[in-house]
Amino acid sequence: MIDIRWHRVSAILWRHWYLLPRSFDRLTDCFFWPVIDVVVWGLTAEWLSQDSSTSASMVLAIMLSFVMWRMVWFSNYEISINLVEEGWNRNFTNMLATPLTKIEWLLGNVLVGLIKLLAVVIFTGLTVWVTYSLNILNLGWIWIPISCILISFGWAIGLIASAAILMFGIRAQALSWTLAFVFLPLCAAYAPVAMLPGWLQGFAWCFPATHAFEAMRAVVFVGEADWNMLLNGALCSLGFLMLGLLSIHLAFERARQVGFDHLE
Amino acid sequence: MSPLASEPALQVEGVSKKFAQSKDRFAVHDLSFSVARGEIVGLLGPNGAGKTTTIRMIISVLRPDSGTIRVMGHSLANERSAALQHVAFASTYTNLPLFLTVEENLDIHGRIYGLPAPARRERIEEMLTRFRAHDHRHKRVGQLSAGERTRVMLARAFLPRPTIALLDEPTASLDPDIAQEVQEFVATQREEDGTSILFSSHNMEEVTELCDRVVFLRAGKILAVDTPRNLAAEAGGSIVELEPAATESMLQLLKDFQYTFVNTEKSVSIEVHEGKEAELFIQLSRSNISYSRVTIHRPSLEDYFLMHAKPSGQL
Repeated sequence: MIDIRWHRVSAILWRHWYLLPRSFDRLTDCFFWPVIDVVVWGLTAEWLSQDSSTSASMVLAIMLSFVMWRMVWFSNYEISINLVEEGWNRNFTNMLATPLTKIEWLLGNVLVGLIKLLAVVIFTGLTVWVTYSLNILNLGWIWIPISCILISFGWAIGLIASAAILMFGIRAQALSWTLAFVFLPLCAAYAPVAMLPGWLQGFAWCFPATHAFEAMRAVVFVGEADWNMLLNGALCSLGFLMLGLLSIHLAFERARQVGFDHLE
Repeated sequence: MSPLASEPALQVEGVSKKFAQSKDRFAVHDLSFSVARGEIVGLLGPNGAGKTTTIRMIISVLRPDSGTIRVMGHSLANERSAALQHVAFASTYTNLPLFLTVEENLDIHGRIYGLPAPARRERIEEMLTRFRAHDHRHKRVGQLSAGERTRVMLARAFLPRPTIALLDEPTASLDPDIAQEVQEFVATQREEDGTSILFSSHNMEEVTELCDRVVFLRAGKILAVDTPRNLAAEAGGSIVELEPAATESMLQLLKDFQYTFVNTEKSVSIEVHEGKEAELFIQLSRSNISYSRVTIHRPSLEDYFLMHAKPSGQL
């Protein structure tokens, strides 16, 4: 049975809570880039909507795509960058030399990520509402299953990136912020799967985010929730999460065999 | 008496580790030693002897290929968290989150070890005072000097009242006065909290001063486990250096009593078994041989280290 102690998980939460107000990098990740993206994407969408052939729903779909992609990226980033952060501080060995387990460490990072993500989504939603008078909550209850699919996909990418960093060391740190972008064009974030080349479309359906983005567009443009799409997305997400957990487990086991020197 | 009271703080049994890149060579091979409650044990050996590998296996950063490590009776392989709840670690070669203040770093560490809030605050105050870091409590770790950072690392390590602390070269790269201060802290910690300490260092004087026993490693194997004094004695006898008034009569006496000596222009150096120096002076006195300036070089742990630092093939 997995023994998880809350006091150790909370220590990880406090570690990042103390850091947040002093880390310019983290603050810009949470608040600066989302505002810039909202402005850039919002203006582009508004310009497109001036064309009578483009429906007003397009602006909402693009803004939702943007907010939802942030959920994937941020969930991924919060897991992998926290591993890199310990490497930058040469604190990894110190951390491993305590009773803290890898599950507790991961759980702590996941919770930190969720709290920050909630703040980022609220902040971004408010920015969209203030600047373009669009309410992203108009999507309704379907936000919940879509968020679950996207966040767990983000965690899976974060776990795979972290596993790669554990394997190859701190020189692989760029994966923290780049790996998720490999999936961006493949999971139909801003344009439907139908816009991808035919040979790539089948491949795109392998990713949970594709199902989530298509389900969102179905609600925005057709006004109906596609249950099958969401179910497939959830199953796909579960598969990716298992893959991520297996990767990080194997990477940790290997690192305990060869040492963690390459991380510090 | 609790069954744990008689349990060694640390028990290492038949531990071996080989790295893939070193092919047939063991980083450590069949290592067995223990650290009793309240004991300070030095882990010594030349570079590459296996000190760091040993320490890393004890803190579970590295997994041994074979053998067992127990901390307060808890197997590190099967009860990692329970074992590490008793262990503290501080090393010159690691750091703490640089953007966090001293107090925040200590707070997080206390939380990991499950110290409840009031006890944690009280203990942080105590450690900041003991390690003279009170004035730095609100400074970020990144703003501290090397000496200040070492003090904070030690305060952090001893915060949860560990049963055993592993200190990996805590005084490396520190000025002698700060290193002396750190030694005092370590000694105080044992006195105040009864903490066992496994101490790795390249400073032989420090090890002699602090440690009850020394585990000497060479090429991944234990060469000796003994007190620093006994190991030093193995390095040979004392050298007594005298400036004789009449050289010829002194040399004759040394030959008569079968001493090994070296005569230079100004002085005579005589090899004497450790603790037998007084006998030499009595013999000189009885023969009315006078001398000026006496220097006695006692064997030290450093002599032992130098004698055994080379791999066995090079001895």
